[in-house]
Amino acid sequence: MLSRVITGTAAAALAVGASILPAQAKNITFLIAYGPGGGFDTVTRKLAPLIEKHLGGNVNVVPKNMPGGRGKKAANYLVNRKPNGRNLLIFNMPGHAMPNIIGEKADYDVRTIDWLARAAEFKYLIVTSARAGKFKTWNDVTSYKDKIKIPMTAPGTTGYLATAILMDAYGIKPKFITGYKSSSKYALGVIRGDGDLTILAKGSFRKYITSKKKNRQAFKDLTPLLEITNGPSQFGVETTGSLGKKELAVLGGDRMIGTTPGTPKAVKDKIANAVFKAVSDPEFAAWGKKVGRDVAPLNAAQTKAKALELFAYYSKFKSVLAASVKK
Amino acid sequence: MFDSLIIGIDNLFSLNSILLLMAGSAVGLLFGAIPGLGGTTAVALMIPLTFGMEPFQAIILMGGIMAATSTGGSVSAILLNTPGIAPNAATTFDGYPLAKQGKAGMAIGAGATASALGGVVGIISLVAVIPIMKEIVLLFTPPEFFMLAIFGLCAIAVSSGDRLLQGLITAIIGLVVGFVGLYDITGTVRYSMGIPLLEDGIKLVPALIGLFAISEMINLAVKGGSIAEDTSSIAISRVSDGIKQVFKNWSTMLVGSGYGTFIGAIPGVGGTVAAFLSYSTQVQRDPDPDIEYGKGNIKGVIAPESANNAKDGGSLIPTLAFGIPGSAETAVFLGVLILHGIEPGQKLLVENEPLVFTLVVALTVSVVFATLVVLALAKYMAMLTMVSVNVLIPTVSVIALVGAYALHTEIGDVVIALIFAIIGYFMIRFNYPRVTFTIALVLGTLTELNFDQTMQIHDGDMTVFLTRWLSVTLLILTVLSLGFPTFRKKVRERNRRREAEASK
Repeated sequence: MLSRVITGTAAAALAVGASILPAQAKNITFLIAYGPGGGFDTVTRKLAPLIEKHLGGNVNVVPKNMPGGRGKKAANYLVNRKPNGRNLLIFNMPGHAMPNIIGEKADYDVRTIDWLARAAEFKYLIVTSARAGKFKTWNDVTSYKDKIKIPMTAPGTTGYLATAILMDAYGIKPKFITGYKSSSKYALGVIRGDGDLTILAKGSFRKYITSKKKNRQAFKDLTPLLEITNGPSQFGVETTGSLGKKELAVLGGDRMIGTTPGTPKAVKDKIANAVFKAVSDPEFAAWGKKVGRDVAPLNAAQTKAKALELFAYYSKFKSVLAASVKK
Repeated sequence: MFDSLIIGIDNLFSLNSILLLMAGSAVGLLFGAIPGLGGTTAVALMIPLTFGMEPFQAIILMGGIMAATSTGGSVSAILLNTPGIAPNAATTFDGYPLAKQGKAGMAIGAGATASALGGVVGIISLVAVIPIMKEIVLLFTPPEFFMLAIFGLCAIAVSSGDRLLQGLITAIIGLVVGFVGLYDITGTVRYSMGIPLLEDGIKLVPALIGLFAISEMINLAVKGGSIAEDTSSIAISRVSDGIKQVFKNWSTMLVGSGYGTFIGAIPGVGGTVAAFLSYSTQVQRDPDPDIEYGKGNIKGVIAPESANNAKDGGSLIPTLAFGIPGSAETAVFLGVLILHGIEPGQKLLVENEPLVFTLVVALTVSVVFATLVVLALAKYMAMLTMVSVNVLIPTVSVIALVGAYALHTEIGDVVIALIFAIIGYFMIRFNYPRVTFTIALVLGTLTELNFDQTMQIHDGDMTVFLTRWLSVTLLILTVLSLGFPTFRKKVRERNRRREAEASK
């Protein structure tokens, strides 16, 4: 009886296995280094049909979620593919660069990725809870004697690293309250009093506070303290530039699209051209405006230069970053 | 609000919308019933189809999927001992024993009815709490989450019954397994032994597929026969009995629905925890049951099924109010809203109230539609339990393994499912409870994370658990839930003794 069961199982496995093989070898897989539903997922799914449009022909661009290892899994997968331009990934910079900077094991090196284009960027803002009323200005923060509690995602994430660098620049010793799954959850942590302040992308903050009915808006409690920019403040608060910390203006995030290193130039140029057209497409720009994402297209050469610039900048803070990851 | 409700109903009742809703429900049922796929995958896969749709049409399609998946998942949980999606895992505890006793029709009937009623309760609650969403979400901080998790872990003691030692052993193994992988507090990987697959932890669904479905197939292969132990005595016409049981045990359904709505509303906890807490509370509320829990008590199906469908309404509360997804499924749904330029948050509730009510109406109609489909087909589905092992084992094993693979298209997940299948088989063989293992696996990391966050926030001060009213309330409930079954049992024994003495 057991042999019949085994035979039946094998036959069924073969039948089902055949049905899940890739349907078209010519497809381009657009990897998503994080789970469904997040920012990377939505941007990738919005860009995929636009890249198809600008590539022409019958090539399908198929988004595929590959979450794991804080984005490392998808990047490792990408660099271990055949260099034929059939796999793309939106890198989370500087998050993806961290293993390379602090010497953590990774198959990829952001300096050698074949960069195609940059889709978007964001800059940060330090916020607190108006309800708590502990800090009214950034000066209140720098002159505060006790430990400042900062709700945050896990050590090593982009927000954590930016906060660690910023606090280090101001000589503030922060106490991170870690373990929150996303920025909206740690922002909620500040509102309900888990911590004193936190860091948010400006787009996210804008999204959280725009409401017509104040009494029904928990996130309305969020109030900005310090904006990371060398230009004028969009929120009427002090900026890192006005406080003489111009070097901090780099802190933020870049969404850069890359493919497997060693892709033949002709193939790479063709895809880079289509990807750049997609990120520059008015439809993508209009969508970004509508949903509060800062669409900031760069072509392949500019993206490569930006990647190297970011790597060099964050490498200067290697000890701060390494210490924060070890905690 | 009434005008918005009318617009919501109006949006739904056109041929296009009804077709979209039915398609969504059908996809939801199918993806729910096939182990490992689930609503999150279904919603994600359907996203490209919504590109050309109006926002309300996309919402109707997604609402149909979300409402139907857990109903579909209950069918495979009952018939194949395989939770279609993780929140259906608790349904296997009593659903599958009922199937083995030839009462699959009754279990499916009860499960589907409890799902529908739970879903409706959840949706009504969603509408009712829209004005006070902010207060609800802000009520829960890490100390409260910790106490809530402890409350759930106490179910281990109750679920073990007369196998306390075995229950504790499997619970400890469950906790240890739950600790494997990246820990969000430290950002470091623990106990992965250098194996990349383990760096993100043991994934729940492949582990449960192995532990419950494939292990049972190994057991069947060794024993032979069919799932139902005595096929000659089976009459597959007890679906209506199942429906009646839900109305007879209405308090179980209501408590389950309450759990589902309440826990669904707390971001990051989700339907799996809701179903387990509902199940364990039911076990604790009923210390002297007619049929032991875990051996085919219909209330053990009603409690988790009402909870995991009610959570759909509940988990939309933080999703719509704050843009904070209450579950993985609503996280993807949030992505759909953003793709269509709809910004979740109070702005949505204030400026786009009709869209919210379109979703509410779509969820309500879909949950009822999915239930009617399941009830109509239950009789035929239940026949699966009579199929010979020679057909059943290859079919279920392959569906289960493909499900484990399809979740992340990761062959490692298949390996995890197979390892847990072997562990599960030996647990069956040596009579070690799998329930306690699963509860510890689901709640262990939640407990640890919230304990650590509490200690970080309050500088290691443990008294915080005793100085916050909600935390203390949950602690008292935990103590009562542990003590009450013993107390009630003793009172009953004393009464019986007195009656016996009086009758002498």
